Amino acid sequence: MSAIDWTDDLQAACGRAGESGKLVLLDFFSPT
Amino acid sequence: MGAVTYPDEMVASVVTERFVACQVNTQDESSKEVVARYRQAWTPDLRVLDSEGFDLYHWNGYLPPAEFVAQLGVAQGHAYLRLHQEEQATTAFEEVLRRFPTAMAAPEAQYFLAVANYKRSHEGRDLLGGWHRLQVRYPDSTWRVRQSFSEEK
Repeated sequence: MSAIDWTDDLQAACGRAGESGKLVLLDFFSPT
Repeated sequence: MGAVTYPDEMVASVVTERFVACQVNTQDESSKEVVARYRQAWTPDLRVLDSEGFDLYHWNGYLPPAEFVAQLGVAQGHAYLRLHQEEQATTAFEEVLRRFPTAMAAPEAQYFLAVANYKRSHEGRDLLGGWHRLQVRYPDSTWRVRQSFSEEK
């Protein structure tokens, strides 16, 4: 299991990035 | 990516410490707007965005853990360069070169480390000296070609 705390809400991710000073890593994926 | 790279402890640690991580399933109906906004075409598709959603760096294709972390470091360096945070960019590129000197992304890190140092100092020797190290360390890389105009004939 990945320990990465992924969100699927890009708007929320950008908001969290603004608050924390982090960048956003956006991963577009297709389930296999 | 989900089977090998993301479960890797080093990858998870770097992503968690430095980024807010967002995954978008391109096959999901609810993702159509985001897919269209970013002109997304092929997966894996990784983007580094600022807090306004602006695309600062992106790449396509699977990478195993060490190559992924090195590429992510280069992406972070580019992001800082575009945000005019040259000191952080220098740190990111230096870390790639220190930890992953043989990674596929290392020549790009060497190229843009010189750029970041030049943008901090405005001294031509910082740019050309860094590119000289690129010529010596990564003579066969595409990034060496991209600065080859600076090499003595």
